[in-house]
Amino acid sequence: MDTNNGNKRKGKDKPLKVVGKPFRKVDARSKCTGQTRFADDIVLPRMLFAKLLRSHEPHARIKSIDTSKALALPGVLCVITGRDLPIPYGILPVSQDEHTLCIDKVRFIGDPVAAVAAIDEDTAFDAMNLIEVEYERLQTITNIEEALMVEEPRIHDYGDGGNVHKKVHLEFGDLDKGFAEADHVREDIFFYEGNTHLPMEQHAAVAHFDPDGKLTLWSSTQTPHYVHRALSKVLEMPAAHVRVIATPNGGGFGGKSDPFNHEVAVCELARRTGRPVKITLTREEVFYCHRGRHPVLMRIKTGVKKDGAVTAMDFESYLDGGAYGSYGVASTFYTGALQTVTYEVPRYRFRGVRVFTNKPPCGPKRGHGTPQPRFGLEIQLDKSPQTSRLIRQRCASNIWSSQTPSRPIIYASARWVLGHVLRKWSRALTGKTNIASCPLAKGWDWRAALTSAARGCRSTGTTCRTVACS
Amino acid sequence: MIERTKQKTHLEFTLNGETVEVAFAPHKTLLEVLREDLSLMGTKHGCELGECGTCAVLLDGRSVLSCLVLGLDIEGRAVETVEGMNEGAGLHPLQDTFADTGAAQCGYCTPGFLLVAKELLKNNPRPTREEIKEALSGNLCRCTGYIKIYEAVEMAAARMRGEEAQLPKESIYGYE
Repeated sequence: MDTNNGNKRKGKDKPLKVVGKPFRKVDARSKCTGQTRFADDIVLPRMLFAKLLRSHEPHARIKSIDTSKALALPGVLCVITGRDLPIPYGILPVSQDEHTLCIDKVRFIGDPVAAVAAIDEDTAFDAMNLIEVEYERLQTITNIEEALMVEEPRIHDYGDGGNVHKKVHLEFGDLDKGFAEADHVREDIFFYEGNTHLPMEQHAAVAHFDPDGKLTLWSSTQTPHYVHRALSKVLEMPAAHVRVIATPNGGGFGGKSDPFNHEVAVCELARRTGRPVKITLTREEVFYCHRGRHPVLMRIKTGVKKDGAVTAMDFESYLDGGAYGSYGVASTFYTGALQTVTYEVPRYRFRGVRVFTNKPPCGPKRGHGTPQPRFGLEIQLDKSPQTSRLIRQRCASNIWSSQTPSRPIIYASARWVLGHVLRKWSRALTGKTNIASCPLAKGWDWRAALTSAARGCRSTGTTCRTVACS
Repeated sequence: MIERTKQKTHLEFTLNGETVEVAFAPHKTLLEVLREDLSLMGTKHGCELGECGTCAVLLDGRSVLSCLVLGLDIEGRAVETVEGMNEGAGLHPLQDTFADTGAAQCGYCTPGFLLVAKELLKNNPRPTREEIKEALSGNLCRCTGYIKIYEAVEMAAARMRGEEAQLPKESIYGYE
């Protein structure tokens, strides 16, 4: 026992071995020598190349597909269309609305209708252009307003009516009472434009069926388990016969988190030809895969008291989901779930609507569904004289007073954050990192605040209140 | 048997210091020849439009975008790819510092950055931060790692000049 204690005491004085020390990433050498094998770097013997024929119509019924000319081209081994893979899939159990290749209709420019496997990429490309598709155009729905106004034609046959994919609703507290208590009520409309991930590496996949009928897929994916599940479902294979290997990603940022058409298509082509099949999307096709940040239209109504305290908030969001479900149901909830996390909002109502439009589907991108409302909310609070004053106030004094109801909340080691912020302020204002020298620290007991922050952490176990600025 | 004309051209050039012969379809770009006909997968496809710098290689010591160079144009010339940067089993100082600073995050843009940086240090052994930025401005990194990349180039430059160079404190603890 004595020895142990001795060691412990000694250990305290020893310099730390890991914390504060730089370490080389375990795979850094292979990345810096070009040895890392990304999906497109995989080459198998007798490998075929696949191409997807994508729709040039934004919204249309497929009247006919003629693949005979493509099949007759020397070097083409297989052509498949939507009817060959009739089972739908999707990342969420509630929106299994995607097909490997469109069966009856196309829903955006870039929706795949046929897949070709050929001995090389050029032949596959030529064959793709020989496939003849006859479309019957339908009205195109291009944005949120149109999707809400146009009931027919419906982009999908499911959802919450018309072209509404999903409506969600969360509420707590008496909103009317909250607004009645407010000294000032502000209402704004914000629009956050969508954007895409644009990883440096295009999506790529290689499928191989071994002679015993077991499938291996190497793919540039962030969600191999979901791809595995989709493959097992669509190809009607036991899950134990499917292996999905996620290769290193040349960037993903959320854009490689869905099971994609090309991943399923190469597996089916490999099964039919008995040869490995590879596909690498072009940069243009990466934009069609999309799953980027949803464009969101927001209406925010917030009631505040003179001292900046929020009394109630009514938040509406309208998400432009694009042509498929993807993660959309979750994204819709995310636009409403986090308003009450950073500010104390005693009464809150959130109503969210995700609509279908004839554009590439939106999905998760860095901060999934939350930067859009954050943008709207912060701007609104900055615009309101009461809350903007509060933001300045909370940076000065009173941060820990429980009499300031809109104090920002953060899940972190409050003591650390507060200390960090105070040091930064001191440095900015006085050039010294000594907290006591900071003019902002004068007039309030910052030492007590630090202590209470640390205590808050321990006592509540979950939330402690501190500043969220740095 | 149907008479068929030959589909491939055949030429010789210097690749990473060694003379190689290669046969390829004449419409192919240098990028495609390197990846598909010589199996050197270190050079990456990015945009294939000359926008992103991911496919950069050195042609006669000068950085070029291999997606915009016709394969036929390399006859008799010297091409250097990331595979040729290693010095024996060891790493080039740039590869070493890129690995140490975390300048390579996903690693996809790294080969392009390394070769362009190598060209810079050959012509300018003591570049300023601004000169490094200028030289690397044609290369895109989407993991947003530019600062680490600049630091890696500065550190490699110092080491190649024979100076002692340690990882900047900011690189470990972040910028104040």
